[in-house]
Amino acid sequence: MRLTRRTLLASAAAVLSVGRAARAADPAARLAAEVAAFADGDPVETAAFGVAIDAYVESGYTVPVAVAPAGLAAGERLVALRLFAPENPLIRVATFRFGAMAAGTLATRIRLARSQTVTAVARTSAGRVLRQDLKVAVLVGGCGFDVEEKAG
Amino acid sequence: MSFGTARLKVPATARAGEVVTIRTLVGHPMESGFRKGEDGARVPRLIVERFVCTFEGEEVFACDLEPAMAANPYFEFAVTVLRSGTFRCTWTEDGGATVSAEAAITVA
Repeated sequence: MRLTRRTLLASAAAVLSVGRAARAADPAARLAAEVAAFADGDPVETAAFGVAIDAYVESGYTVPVAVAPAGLAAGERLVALRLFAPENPLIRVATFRFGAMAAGTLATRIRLARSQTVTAVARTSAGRVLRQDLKVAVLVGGCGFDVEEKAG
Repeated sequence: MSFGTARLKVPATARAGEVVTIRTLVGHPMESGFRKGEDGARVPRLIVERFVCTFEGEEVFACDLEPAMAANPYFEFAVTVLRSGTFRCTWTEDGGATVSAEAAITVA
């Protein structure tokens, strides 16, 4: 192909549109990639390991999240926990690390842009990777997150 | 810097091996960077990006926060205490500004 102004512009446009498509990749694919990145090659078990969010929340500005580890072996504890909100502008919500003294229980508050399924993944001291999905209906979206343009 | 008051609540006393609940709260708007202001322009992102709680220098609990954490970040977590010492919590904002809070516990 001869390098002319026309071909150069066309290829530049093609590169741009590919980039846009990758960014707008569907939330399910983004979530799968994020979970795989957290698991780092280890198998992911789907298990209710003790994360709780109300099924219906009025305000997406402050959504209470509680963790009370369940279904772990004796002596096993959570060492890391990450929350994902695939329908938020940014999929990651937070990453928590529990030291040796921490019991693994947690209460905090997150923002949700709209109704969606929140995914929690955790790594235990035994090296297992656990995943729990929680469906949350949100009446009012959180904090300007309901802007039409999506980023990241 | 957008920090308000940093609060850390730890029981004053405990028995050795007891699991105690620690509660922390810091005033902060957690400006997500997605919100539009009065003039229609995007308000720039300014969030608390990191929280760390240590006991006598040992990390107990830490969190990397994203804009999807609610304003005035609140953390409540449980810790098994074996000896007396001081809990120290530090919150770090985008750009590196920090606030800290300390609380001592006496283990009988």
